[in-house]
Order: sequence, then C-alpha cells, then structure tokens
Amino acid sequence: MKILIVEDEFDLAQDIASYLSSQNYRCEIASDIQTASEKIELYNYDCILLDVMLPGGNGLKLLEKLKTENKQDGVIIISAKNSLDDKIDGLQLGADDYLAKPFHLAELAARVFSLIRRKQFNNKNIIEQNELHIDLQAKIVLVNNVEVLLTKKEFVLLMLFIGNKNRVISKSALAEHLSGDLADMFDNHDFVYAHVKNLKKKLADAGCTNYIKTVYGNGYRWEA
Amino acid sequence: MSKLLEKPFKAFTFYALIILVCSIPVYYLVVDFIWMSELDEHNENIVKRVKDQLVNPENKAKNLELQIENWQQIQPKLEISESPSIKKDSLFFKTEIDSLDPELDFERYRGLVTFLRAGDKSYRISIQTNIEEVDETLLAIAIITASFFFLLVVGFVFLNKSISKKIWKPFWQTLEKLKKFDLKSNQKFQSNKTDIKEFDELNSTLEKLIERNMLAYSQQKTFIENASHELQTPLAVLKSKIDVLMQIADLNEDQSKLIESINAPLSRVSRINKNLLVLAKIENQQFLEVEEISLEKVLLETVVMFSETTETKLHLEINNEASTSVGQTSPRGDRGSVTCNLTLLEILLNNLIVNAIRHNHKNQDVFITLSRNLLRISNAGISALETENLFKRFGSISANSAKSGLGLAIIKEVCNQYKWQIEYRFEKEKHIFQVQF
Repeated sequence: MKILIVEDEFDLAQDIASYLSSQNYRCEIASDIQTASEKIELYNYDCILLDVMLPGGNGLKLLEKLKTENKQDGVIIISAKNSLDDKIDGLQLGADDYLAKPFHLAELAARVFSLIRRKQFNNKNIIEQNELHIDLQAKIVLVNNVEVLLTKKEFVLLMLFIGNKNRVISKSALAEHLSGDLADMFDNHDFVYAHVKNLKKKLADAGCTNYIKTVYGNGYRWEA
Repeated sequence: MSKLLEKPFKAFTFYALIILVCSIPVYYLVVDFIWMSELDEHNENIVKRVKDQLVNPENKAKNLELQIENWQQIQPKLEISESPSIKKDSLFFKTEIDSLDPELDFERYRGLVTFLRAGDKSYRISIQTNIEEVDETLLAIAIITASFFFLLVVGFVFLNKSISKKIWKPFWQTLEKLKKFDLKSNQKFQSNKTDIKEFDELNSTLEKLIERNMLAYSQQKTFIENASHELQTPLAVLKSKIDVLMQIADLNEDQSKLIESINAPLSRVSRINKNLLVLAKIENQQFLEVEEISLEKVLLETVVMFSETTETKLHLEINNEASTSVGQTSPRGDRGSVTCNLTLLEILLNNLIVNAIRHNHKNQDVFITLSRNLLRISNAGISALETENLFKRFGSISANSAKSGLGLAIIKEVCNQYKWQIEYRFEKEKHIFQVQF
C-alpha cells in the first residue's frame, strides 16, 4: 500500500510517515506542489494525504489535476484551514475525506485504513484475525462464526483499533473518534472507558482473545 | 440634563430681564425730564404774558391792583404779591394734598418764581403747574416694559424651537445614524450632506473615525483568524509528537502519565484555538446558508449525541401544545422551527449543553425544555454568576481548567446574528439559560 503525504511541515510529515509505516504502508513525502504533482504523474498511490496551504499554491489544484487525469487515488485533505468552505470545495472536487488539523495520528490512520479498504475491496471487504471475522461492508462481526452484536459506537471503536494495530491509542484520540467535535469540549473522557469495557466484554463473552490491552490506564493497544 | 439651546435661551432671557428692569428708571428719568422742561417753558410763557400785561403802558390807566386780582382769578395757581426786593428767578417743586380728593393722593407741582418791577413797586410772581405723579409714570413704564419682556420671551421660545428644528436637523440625522450604526454590519457610515460648516466638519470627522475603526475591526478579525490558522500547524505537530512518543514500547508508568498530562493542556489550547476560529467565522459571517430547521429534531439529535458521551443525565421536555390555545391551529413555521444556519444552531446547542454539563453541581440532572420557540436549559449551581462579563470573551476565567472561556461568547454571537434573545438567571439553586428563537 502506497501513501503520498503532501505536507510542507516536515516534522508533521515525518511523524505521519513513521506512524503509518508501522501499519505496513509505504510512505512518500512531498513538501511542495511541484514535487507532489511530479510524483502523482509518475506513480499511482492508494491514498494521498493532501494539505491545502502549500508553498507554490493551493493543494486543491492537485485534486483537480487528479480528476482531469482520471486517476483513482484516494484523497484525504488534511488542512489547518478548518474552514467549512475548504471542506465543501475539497469534497466537491472529489476528495474522499477531510481531516482538520490538529488531529491524532490514530485518527488519521483509521481514516486511511477505511478509505483504502473502501476503494480496493469494494465487494469483499473482510478483515480476519484468528477467530475474529469482520465484514466492513455489512458491519457484521463474527467470533468463531458466531455473530457478536455491537452497537454503532462499539463498531466504530473496533474499526479504530483495527486501523491502528499494535499502536497505543490515547484516550483523547478515542474520545475524538467516538464523538467528533464534541470530545474536545470535555476534559473528562471517562465515557471512553464504558465503551471500551463493553466492547471488550462482548468479544470476550463470544470467546474472542483479549486483543485490547490497557496501557498504564491512559490508553489502549490492539495486539495483532 | 438640559438641551443645548436652552442654555443660551436662559442667558438671553436673564440678560433681557436685567436690561429691561434697568430701562425702567431710565425711561422714567427721561420722561420726567422732558415733562419738566415742557412745564418750565409753559410756566415761563404764562409769566411772560402776565408781566407783559402788567407793564404794558396801554394798561397803565387801569388799576394795577385790579389787574393783578384778575390774573390771579383767571390763571390757576398764579400768585402775585408785593415784594420788598427783586431777586433772581427760581424754579421749585412742591407736593401738596389734592384739594379735590385729599384722602387719596398727593399732587406734585412744578413752580416758577420771578420778580417784576411795575411802577414803583416790586412784585413777586409765582406760578405752579401740575405734573404727572412719580408712581403713575413708573407704573405705566413698568407695565409696558413687562409686556415687552413677555413678548421677548415668547419670541425666544418660538425662535428657539424653530431654530433647533431647522438648524439642528443635520445634527439629529447624524446622531440617529450613529445610534443605528453597527460596527459588525460592515456597512459604511454615510452621513447626510449639510451646508452648515460645523456639522459638515463633524460628519466628515465621524466618517473618518468610523472608517478607521472599521478597518481596525476587520484587521482584528482577520488577525484572529490568521493567528488561529497559524497555530493549527504547530498544534498538529505537537499532537502528532505526543502520539509518536506514546508508541515507545518500554515507557514506565510515570512517563506514561507525564505524556497523558501533556495531553490535557494541549487539548485545551486546541479548544481555545478552535473556538476563536469559530467566533471569527461567525463574526466574518461565514455561515450564510440558511434553511428552515426543526428545532425539535436538531435538539433531539444533540441530546442523543451527548447522552452517549457524558454520564450526566439529560432530561429533555418538548411541549408544543402548551402554547397553542384550543380551537386555534398554530401557523406553520411557528411549531418550533427556525430559519438559520444548521452549523450555527448546532454550535449554539452544543455550547449551551456543554456549559450546563460542565458547570453542573454534584453531577445532578440537567433539564432541557423546549416550548415552541423558547429553549430553557437549567443545571444545578451554588450561587448566581456575575452577569456583567458573562458573555464576554474570557470574561469568567476561573480555576476550572476545562473552560475555554469562549463558549458563552460564541453563544452570544450566534444569538446576535439572528437577533435571538439570550437570558441568564439564577433560580432555586439552578443556573437557567433561556433562548427565545
């Protein structure tokens, strides 16, 4: 899986690259429009992370270029310009997703994961890990071929874990993923415990190995 | 406070009063002087005629004594008597009781004494003529003066009114425009043309002042927006660094807790930044798309969303029928629906509910009531909030680190945008925020 990170903030691009590499993506970095558009012409990427404000122009231009050349690369806009207009423009121009800075790397990884899955496994979008069987399309979870009934939130939580295997996900990343903008309105993210606890319990009851590990009570890690 | 024109009016009136009062003795003296001169002339004429007759050689044959007698009878107040010597002529005043009506009045006389030598005898001739009384003259002058004063005051009042109406018109127009002027509306301040120099100067100065203010205001707005944007990227780097740091495999518990404790202030900074951006955007009118939205529906969704993320119990009560009287169907669009921007409405509701949950006392239940277009959110509290700075940015900073200090400012700004009424009150140990849509 190849990912192009178009981001002029070098530190951020590096962090994203190293984080995503741990999820078995091959990452390349382009720090300006020029480099990015050369790379796009030469190669095909499974996913492009696109910053809007770039040296040399607006990142949305690259999006137009992709569309005119009829490329199928998935695009996630990562923008500091948290403006509604950018979001609407970007999505209208054919971006697949929009993530406003600052974001958690776990959130980004989850978005990338789900985008690539959506794009490439259109009909048979199934993840298997030992006794666990997840149908992303139908949103069905089976443990040893027995269905586990999860709430919407629990399923969303599971997706975040699957998209961030072996990574520590902080409580605040979990909270943001679960409740979007509302999460950062509270300092108390205790509601995350409840959802994780329920998910753990349902999976354990169905006979699934406990893949969700608590990290010093501050975060969680999905072990695979 | 008195009106501007009333001040000179008072001064003018007072001045006129002084002048007119002073004029009363002056008039009197002048009138009296003229009177006197006339009377003196009159007396002299008579005396002259008398003298001429007495010394006329044609009359010598006649008896002088008889003639004197005759004169004294014909001419009132003429007295001719023998005098031992001839003296200089003299004038005199005399006041005596009126012979006709002695109880009422004194009569004033002007007299002339002169001497005549006729034959071998000297005669003293005195004549007196009635003068107008002092009090009568004074009274007449005073009455006339008072009437003039009255006319002056009436004229002042009238002139004052018509002047203030006409001349001050451009001033009132400018004032009215200033009152209606809203810095946030982004509309230029345009004053009316006037041909009065002072007002023209005032208008042009005001226009310049307001233009500078508008510029400063828009610069401030763009500054906040730009500053927030610029902050987003370093915040993003910081956040990602912490995420990376957390991945280090052999972190001990203390290190882990340290990392997590960085997260809290970081998310507060993010929150403040985000809210500043939202505020700037509302002020820059970037939420323009409006649609008709069912309050009930959006409120319900918001409450459901919150109930999944907080342990505080939210009680939602929606009563549409309460305000609809029997036999009367409430018009469409009145049944708890508003025309506004959906994002703004969500921001408003989110902030109101977050506010209630965050400042809740002892995690008691939060009550949300929607009666048609009136939304009321109440939560438990200990004492009333200070209302003065309640809706200002960072107006109620407290030790509570969870606050961004902008939530209520955003609420207020959204309400301002749509002219909704927001009220706060403290009742029965409850903080109540009420929005009239």
